[in-house]
Amino acid sequence: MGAVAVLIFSTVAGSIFAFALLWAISQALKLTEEAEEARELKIRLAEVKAKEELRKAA
Amino acid sequence: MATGGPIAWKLLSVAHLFFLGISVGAFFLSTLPYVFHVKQYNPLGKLMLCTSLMTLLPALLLLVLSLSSMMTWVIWLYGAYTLILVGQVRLAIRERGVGRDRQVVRMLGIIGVVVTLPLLTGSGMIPGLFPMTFLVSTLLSGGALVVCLSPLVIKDGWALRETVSELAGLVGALLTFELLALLAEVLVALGSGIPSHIATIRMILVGPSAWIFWGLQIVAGALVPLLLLFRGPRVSLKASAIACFFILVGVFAFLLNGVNTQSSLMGRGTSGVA
Repeated sequence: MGAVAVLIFSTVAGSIFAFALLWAISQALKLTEEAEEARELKIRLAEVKAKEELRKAA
Repeated sequence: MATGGPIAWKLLSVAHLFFLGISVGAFFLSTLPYVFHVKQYNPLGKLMLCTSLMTLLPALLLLVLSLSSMMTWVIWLYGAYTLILVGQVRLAIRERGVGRDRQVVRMLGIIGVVVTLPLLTGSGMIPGLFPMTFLVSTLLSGGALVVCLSPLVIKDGWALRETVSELAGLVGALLTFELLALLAEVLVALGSGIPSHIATIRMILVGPSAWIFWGLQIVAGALVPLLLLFRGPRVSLKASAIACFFILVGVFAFLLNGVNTQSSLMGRGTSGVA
């Protein structure tokens, strides 16, 4: 009986921990991806602005 | 099957846990694209599931050979886990009716995480002393094998190369986390004042097999891969694969230490008092 209780407890606690860990990893990865996208957008925007200024100067 | 003597039994047992850990770790990682919608890991989803299924087969074979777990419910769990994996691989590969298939793969992923936890406990994978480290090391070993295998499947896809590079970064982060968790768990065990815990830690750190911990687990399995993975902003695929191979050596040493210490303490009369 005690062993079954330990097993159930470890399964529930382990599942919660595993899901929490995976969720945290996924959030961190999504944030990294968003930051990467934002960085790329910034670079593209700067390129467009530079081209625009060159066009105006010409 | 203990007919080959205690050393053979220990190695079979460790190898079984090693392959099971890789399988579960790769499966857990596959939940990132399929359950948690991490888009950048989509290209590696199938490789993660296939790695999980491929390593489950030797784990099952070694389970039969070592008979490390005679409990019927563990066999049932293995059956359920195998079915879930086969279903997921089939649905992920066929790519027909993508939306509905993906929903099913997602559901199977959630059920799979719940099924694998008692499987790990039943196989002796999560001992009381290092529960967190064991869970992280499953993710670590699964991710490491996926990175090791990726050069075989990458032909010239730049996007896939980028994804593998990101996964190698995640593996490096997990390794760092595991080292910190290991340190925390060692300190907690030493500070607990429980004689069996202190005896276990002493046996690992300064016992006759301390070279496994310091040489294989810490130097070869942690420091070398960390140096390879974090030596610059761009790490080549080859360097990542080599680092991940060393990580797998370290995980094997970690499990060997666990089984070694457990059997030594049991041999002393279970009390484990040093």
